[in-house]
Amino acid sequence: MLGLASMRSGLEKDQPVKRKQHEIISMYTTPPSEELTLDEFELFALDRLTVLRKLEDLKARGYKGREFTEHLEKAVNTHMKINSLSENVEEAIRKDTVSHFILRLAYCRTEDLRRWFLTQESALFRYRLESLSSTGIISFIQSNGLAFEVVSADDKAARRSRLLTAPGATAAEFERCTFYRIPFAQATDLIGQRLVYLEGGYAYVPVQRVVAIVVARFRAALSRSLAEASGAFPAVTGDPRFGPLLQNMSRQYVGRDFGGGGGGGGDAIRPEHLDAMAARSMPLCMRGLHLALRRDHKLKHMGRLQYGLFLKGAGLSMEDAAAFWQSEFTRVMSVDAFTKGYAYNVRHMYGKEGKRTNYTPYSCLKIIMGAAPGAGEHHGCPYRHFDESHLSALFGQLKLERADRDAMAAHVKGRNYQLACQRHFEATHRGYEDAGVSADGVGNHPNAWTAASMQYWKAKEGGATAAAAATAAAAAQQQQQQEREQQSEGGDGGAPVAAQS
Amino acid sequence: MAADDGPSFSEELLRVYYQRLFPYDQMWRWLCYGNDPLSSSGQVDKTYINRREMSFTIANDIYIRYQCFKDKADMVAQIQKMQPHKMDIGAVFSVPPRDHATVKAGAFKPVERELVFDIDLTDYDDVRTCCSGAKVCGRCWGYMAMAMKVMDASLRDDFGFKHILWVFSGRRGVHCWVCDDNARRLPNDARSAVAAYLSVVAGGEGKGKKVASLTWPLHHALQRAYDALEPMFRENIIGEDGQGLLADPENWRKLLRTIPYDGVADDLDASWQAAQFSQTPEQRWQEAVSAVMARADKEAQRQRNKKSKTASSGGSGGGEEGKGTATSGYLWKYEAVFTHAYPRLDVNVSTHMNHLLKSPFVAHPKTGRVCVPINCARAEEFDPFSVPTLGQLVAEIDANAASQSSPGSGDSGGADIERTSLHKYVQCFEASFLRPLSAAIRKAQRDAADREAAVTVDF
Repeated sequence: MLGLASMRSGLEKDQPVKRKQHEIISMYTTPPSEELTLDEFELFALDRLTVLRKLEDLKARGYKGREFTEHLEKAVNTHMKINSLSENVEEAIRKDTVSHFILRLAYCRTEDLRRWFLTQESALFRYRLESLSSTGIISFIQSNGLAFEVVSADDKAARRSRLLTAPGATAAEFERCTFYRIPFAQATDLIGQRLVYLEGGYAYVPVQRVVAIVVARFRAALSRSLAEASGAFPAVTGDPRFGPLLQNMSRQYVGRDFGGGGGGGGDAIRPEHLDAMAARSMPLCMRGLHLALRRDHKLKHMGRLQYGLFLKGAGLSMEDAAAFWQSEFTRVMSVDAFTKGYAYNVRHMYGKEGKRTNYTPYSCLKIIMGAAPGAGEHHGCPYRHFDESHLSALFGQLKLERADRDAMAAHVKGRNYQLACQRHFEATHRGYEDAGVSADGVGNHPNAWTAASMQYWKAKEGGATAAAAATAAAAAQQQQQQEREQQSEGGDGGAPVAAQS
Repeated sequence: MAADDGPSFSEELLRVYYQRLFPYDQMWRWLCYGNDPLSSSGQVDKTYINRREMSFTIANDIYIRYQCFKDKADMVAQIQKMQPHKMDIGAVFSVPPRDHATVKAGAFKPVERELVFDIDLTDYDDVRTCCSGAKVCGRCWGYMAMAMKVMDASLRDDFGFKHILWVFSGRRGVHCWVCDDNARRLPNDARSAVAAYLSVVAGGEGKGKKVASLTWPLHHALQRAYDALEPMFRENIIGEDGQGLLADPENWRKLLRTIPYDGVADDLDASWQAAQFSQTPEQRWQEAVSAVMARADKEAQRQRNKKSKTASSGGSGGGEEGKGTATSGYLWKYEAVFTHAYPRLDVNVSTHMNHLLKSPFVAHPKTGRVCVPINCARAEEFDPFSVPTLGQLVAEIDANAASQSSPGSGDSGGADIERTSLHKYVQCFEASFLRPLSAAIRKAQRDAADREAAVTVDF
């Protein structure tokens, strides 16, 4: 155990060692072995988590190139400070290493967590590598023992014309450019796009393109380590000091992904809350599905999945979900038909049948990129899948201010569906920031939208959410009740919505 | 397609074929890759062949997956018992595929599989003029020959693969099996990358097929493909006895429409019509290429002038993108040739280890033709209609047996095949594929043994 405090104080006394830019980027091959306080432990980890989530968010919103880099740079500078060559660079390096390994541990537990961590860490690593100059990258490769074979001057000269056919290669820089000779299977991204010259099973990769390969190596190594670490997870979390912290860390994540429910702002959701939630705490996609279900008492397969998983993510228990779906469906079919045809679906969504996968609620990206709704279907993203006239009619029902409506329509025109949805949130939750509600993830995941909204109303109305929702629900249900009475009286028997309010 | 004297495919013919002609020995040696379970060598993986998935399609289109063979006798017995109308080869799995249901879901996964490609004439329907759909004629085969040449060159020169087997798919396409050690171990993402590297014509069902946007200068692999394809394009595509692309006004206008400059197409069309009966398609192609190139040079000159002007006046020089630019003109002839001649892969077959592909030497149930290996170097000489059907093969055994009046007594399976036209294909399989493959495997096994010995001695 190396007392890091002493090391740090030593550095403060001496002239700080100048670090080269490439030296502050780590492949994280050696775990740190040092003392740190529990406070630091948590703080470091959460700071890194913030950066990783920001990164995910930026990707999901389709930021690319310069814009992406600038946004990410801001987050990295605020939370990790590893970009600058400031005086505290040693401290920043320490924090970078420690936080990476803590999160590696916290995120090794399940396949889903591992995949998430792997994706974000690889993207962060790529972003940091890309900030290096060519010489920086060459130094990084050397100092990290990445044994890439450098193409000799003779070999390079012999292939001059062929190497220059790779996109982006210029004769002016050819002489100075270092080329690496790398087995093609390690350069899949580059060969798939024909970005490099290929000969005899080897890709000839110019230094500007080698980042892709270093990232692939990093990713593969991290993936392996995560799989190995998952075996040790139970032993580590047994430690009373940081075991709970580690567990907590991944729960924080689960809150984001809504895979385990609990995305309803802390309180469990009951079927009787749903009408009120639909009125003010659901994004348009889910609101549309809820209204369609209430109106038609059925949803087609894709709609059931999208809405059912959303409800699961919002915290509706499986028993409640079964009761809820049954109460709706049995208004157009017998209980027997429901049990035979649909009860399995509900249990399946909760991972109790078939493959027993705990399906995660759909993110915006998945909904937007997914199949468009056909006739009689209500799933999908209204901003993406509705035509202009339908959408403006829908906006009209929402009682939005003109400016908001126009802004949302403009976003849709620019194909920024998620931004439109975000604007919808902002328009209907004025002053949410003052209420201490974070809108991170709104416009990125329907459950984030709902969670933030529930939190907002809870803060706004002070009282317990359930109570508040129940009052609102009562009003909504009265209306429902009336509609129902108008429609018919049959098959209303087991509707828990009516029964429990 | 059937021989004059009887059916080309039937259950009865199949029985004779599997009894007397199917090259079990060669197939077995191939699929074992030196890992015969009955071998006494310590170098072999005795479970290897038993982990290879085979699937059978039997009568009435009943499809049986996850079959595997314990040893050669088992293979012969199973095939003769099942009489598969069609047989597919799958991946080598982590456990014998027969047991796939008895292990945990994650434990059953493909670990090895040849890198395979499937090229089918139906993917050329938007360009071929002679036939469409399942129909084929001698002219369409030109597409397959061109595709094989380009693919084979790239797989060998660019990727360094050596053990490449080309097989006629039995009706209207070809299959390619890359059997090198490192090819068999490629993960799925690398397979996708290889397929993407080899694909230029994009667009799937419903969408128009189009050459993906090329960049200038052309990537080395594409330049090589063009150099190989252009002569074949002139021979197979533009002429009257090929696809006739430049043989009559209706067809040549299709090509002229793709010229990125206004006016050039109309001028060519007018002059070609005037001289329709005195000009050859070959001349038209040369004329079109030089007309487009001349115009492209002019554009380039104009862009240079504009750039120097705008540079002096401080304005931004126009980007060199899209229709009408010099680059689009320089690329035109490449796009034209690639649209009509570049291999069109069914990439889904290639990108997943766990994808089945029809085995060589089975017969196509619709045509009765045997899926025989093709010598890529002489692909243009290959005639799909001279490939023997089951009916022909069985007739050949009988006819030749009668005429030869049995010189050697006690004929068994081995000799039957020598009396048929299948013999030369099996010989080709043996000589140009199996022998080099076995030599490479033996060398690898020897090297491994040497390494092992060196290590043992060291300690």
